Amino acid sequence: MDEQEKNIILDCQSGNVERFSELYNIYIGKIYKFIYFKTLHKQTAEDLTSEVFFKVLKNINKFSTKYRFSPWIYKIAQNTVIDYFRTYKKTENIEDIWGLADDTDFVEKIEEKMIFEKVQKYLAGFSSVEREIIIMRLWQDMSYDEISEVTGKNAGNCKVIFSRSISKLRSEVLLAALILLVLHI
Amino acid sequence: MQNIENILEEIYKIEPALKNREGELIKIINSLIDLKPEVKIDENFILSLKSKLQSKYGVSEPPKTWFTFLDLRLVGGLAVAALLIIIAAPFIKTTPSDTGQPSETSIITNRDDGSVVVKNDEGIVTKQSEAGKTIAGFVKFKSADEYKKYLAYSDQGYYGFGGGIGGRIDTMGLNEAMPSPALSQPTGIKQSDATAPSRVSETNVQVAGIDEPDILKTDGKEIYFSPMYQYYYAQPMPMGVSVPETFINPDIIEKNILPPYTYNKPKTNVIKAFPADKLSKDGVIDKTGNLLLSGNILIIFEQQNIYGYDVSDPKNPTQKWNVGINSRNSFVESRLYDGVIYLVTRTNTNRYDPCPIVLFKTGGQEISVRCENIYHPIGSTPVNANYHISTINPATGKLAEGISFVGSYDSTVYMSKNGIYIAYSRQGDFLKLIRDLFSENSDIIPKEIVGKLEKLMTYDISDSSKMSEFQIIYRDYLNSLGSDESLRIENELSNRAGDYFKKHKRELTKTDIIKIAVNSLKVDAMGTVPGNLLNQFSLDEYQTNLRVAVTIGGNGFMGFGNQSEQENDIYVLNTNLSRIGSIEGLGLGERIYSARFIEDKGYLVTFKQIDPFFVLDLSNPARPQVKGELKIPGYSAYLHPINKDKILGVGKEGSRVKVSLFDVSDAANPKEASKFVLEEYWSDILNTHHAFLLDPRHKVFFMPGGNGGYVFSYDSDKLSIKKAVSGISAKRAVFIDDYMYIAGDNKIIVLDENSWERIGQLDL
Repeated sequence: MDEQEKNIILDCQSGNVERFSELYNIYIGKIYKFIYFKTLHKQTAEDLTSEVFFKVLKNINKFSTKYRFSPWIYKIAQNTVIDYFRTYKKTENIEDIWGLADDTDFVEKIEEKMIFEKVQKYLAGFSSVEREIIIMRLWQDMSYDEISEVTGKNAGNCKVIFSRSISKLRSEVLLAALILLVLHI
Repeated sequence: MQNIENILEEIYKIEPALKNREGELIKIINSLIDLKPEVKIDENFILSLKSKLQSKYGVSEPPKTWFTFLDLRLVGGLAVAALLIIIAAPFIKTTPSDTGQPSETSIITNRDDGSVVVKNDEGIVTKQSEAGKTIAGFVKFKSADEYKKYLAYSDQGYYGFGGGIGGRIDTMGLNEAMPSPALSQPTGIKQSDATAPSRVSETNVQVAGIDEPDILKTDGKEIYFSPMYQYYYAQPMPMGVSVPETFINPDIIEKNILPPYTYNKPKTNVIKAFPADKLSKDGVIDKTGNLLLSGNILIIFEQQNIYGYDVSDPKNPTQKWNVGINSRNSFVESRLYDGVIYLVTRTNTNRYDPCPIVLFKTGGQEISVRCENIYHPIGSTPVNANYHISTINPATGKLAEGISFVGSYDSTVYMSKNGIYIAYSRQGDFLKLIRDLFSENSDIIPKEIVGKLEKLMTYDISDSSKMSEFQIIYRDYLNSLGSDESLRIENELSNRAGDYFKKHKRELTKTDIIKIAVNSLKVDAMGTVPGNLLNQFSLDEYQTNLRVAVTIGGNGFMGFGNQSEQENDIYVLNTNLSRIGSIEGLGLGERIYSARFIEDKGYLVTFKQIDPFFVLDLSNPARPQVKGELKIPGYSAYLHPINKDKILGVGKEGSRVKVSLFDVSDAANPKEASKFVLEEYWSDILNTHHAFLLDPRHKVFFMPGGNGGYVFSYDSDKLSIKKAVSGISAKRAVFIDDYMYIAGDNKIIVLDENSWERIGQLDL
């Protein structure tokens, strides 16, 4: 793993917890965005981001520096979000807001509601894994190496999933255009 | 933004045919990028969370004056957001007449302090004997509306800032004699049977006789091993262990052959382990998770399902029953005691759709709990979770509802043979503390401000609203002064507040402890101690008392309290969970890293830079005292009694794993008889005591490490490595007769404990 991060963590583990703030500085923005894209709600994203960092702080002694830190913290963020949606939705396998069917009551502001509805048209059709990779690649500007760390899938596999998703969307868009064409004729 | 060319190139590598559709692809990718919601992270949020984190473990940032923290001009609405989480719930107005009226089955106890405890089917209530005023209690909600109102008041959002990982259970009570190593007669095998082993180890648990779920169980003939930990529900983090997945070779992808993405679901292995030379794989169950073994029934806790398998024919394990845990419900802990599975699960509170809460699905039926069957503490407790205790008959899978109650997400569960204890921390009553602070400083804060606060405290509004109101009152007051005077008062108050909160640090955070009787699954008692618990080992029942080890301070309260203010207390509570004795102020500036109570002794490790190891004399519950103290480098995160005079500590020194053998034969002068620092950065024992195995016959213990497994000898009070086993990602070990089986992710290695030679290996 990243030597600097490793040193910070080892320091934290040997009692020098002050250095946690360095980890915080590195990850706060990344984790917040990661969660925001899954919840589309400022207050919720802040709450869940807080929870993630408290979990990380509480368990930093349990982290083994043999492994990389970033997949660990993203995994915690992911689980926190999943747990959150479980609370509100009875539906199984909800991992982010984009997978919600018609429960748009969750989205409060009109502006956010519009984005939600628009994006949902495209993204709800994907599996959560596909959606996750699309969001990380296109919105979070992450490289496949980084995506691979977060998802635990190898980079090659992530590339395949991404390409297939785009390809799938293309055929769906084409189909929709075709139907429109037929109807108009 | 990245170059769209790159993205296209990547896609063409996978699906070259799409090159002909470049125009469409560009459109699609651009529209996906355009869809990206605008995301801005609030700078105030970044700063406020940072400061909360720093105060959590007392990280010392230059101490900000705490009134700055409350200052509306600086933090605006954000202070309120933070407060929502920190402040205790307001009082639900209850009168003695609507809670816990004595019924015919009530048990009424008069306490020494003049109060009366009434306990019946409706709950438990403590009243002042004269006025009959309710002081405390734990009663059922009257209606769904009352439940909703309670949640609205305890407006702290979905989780607590306690850092809720939740559900860590420590079971090290050892209130059964000395912790003779987990050792039992092999289940279902006659001792006289020459084909049966003479001894078998059990999972290292807290309380002898109460089994805890773990990834490996054995009955002396078979080993049941489920290598993949269910980290998500028990502990929502991967701990560096990822789900084993079969990946496709990237080279193949590059060549555009597209094998399907596959996922190898981990399985539970049934391994013939006895006799040792017949080591072989008997069967496989396609479920995985923590295990319990009750007679011939293997219980598997797999995420949202609990399965019971009949393993009387190990080659053909057959599923006998299944209990589905509803998606809103999650597994916290479980115990097997006297042929009954006790199950603790948790649901997050849901203000919009509170009840009924569907907990389980079994036999085609949903099992749910109504609001009216959920207990709650009377008075101020912030809640964000419901706890449910149920039982399962391992033979039939029949589930029986027990009890449900509200609490906070950050919980500790401990079970003795008499009670299941659930403890959760909450913040103290901040407004009351401020009111008292203001009253004490009447030279700078006028009486009418205190009066306004007192009035505010009686309002029937949520705590977050009260905090907003408080800030307005305080700001108005400062604004009414000239700016010089305002500056002086702010500084004066901030300075005095430091001392004030130091003095009242035991009021800042509280831990509520609920005791549920094992035989009836009814509320037996509730009590409160200051501070926070570390884990299940922080609680221990001995005779009729409960001993509790807590850390005070250091976890911050509105940004106060830093590490130098941490200290640690021991409380002895009686059967009503009322305090009868205490030791306060241990390890100033340090926090508890491990605790272990053994009969009338207690051992405590606190840590900041060096590791003070305390020996506590608890023989007189009313007057517990520190008997001895030892300071050594590093810390111990797990304490295991080897015998009456020796305690083993597993922890870290610097970044490396350390084992210490403490000689406590002279309680006043504990000594480190031996120490071993391993070339390892991690051992699973730091995560769970289940990973530890003691074999007293051979005077050895087993420790998994990152590079392999280690068998340590403690013979003659000297720690040395008896055998290091490489080439295995060791997780657990058991012994059957004189053979030690070391189980790793993908193999089991057998050692002869007499020669310490490898005599067998099985690849899984």
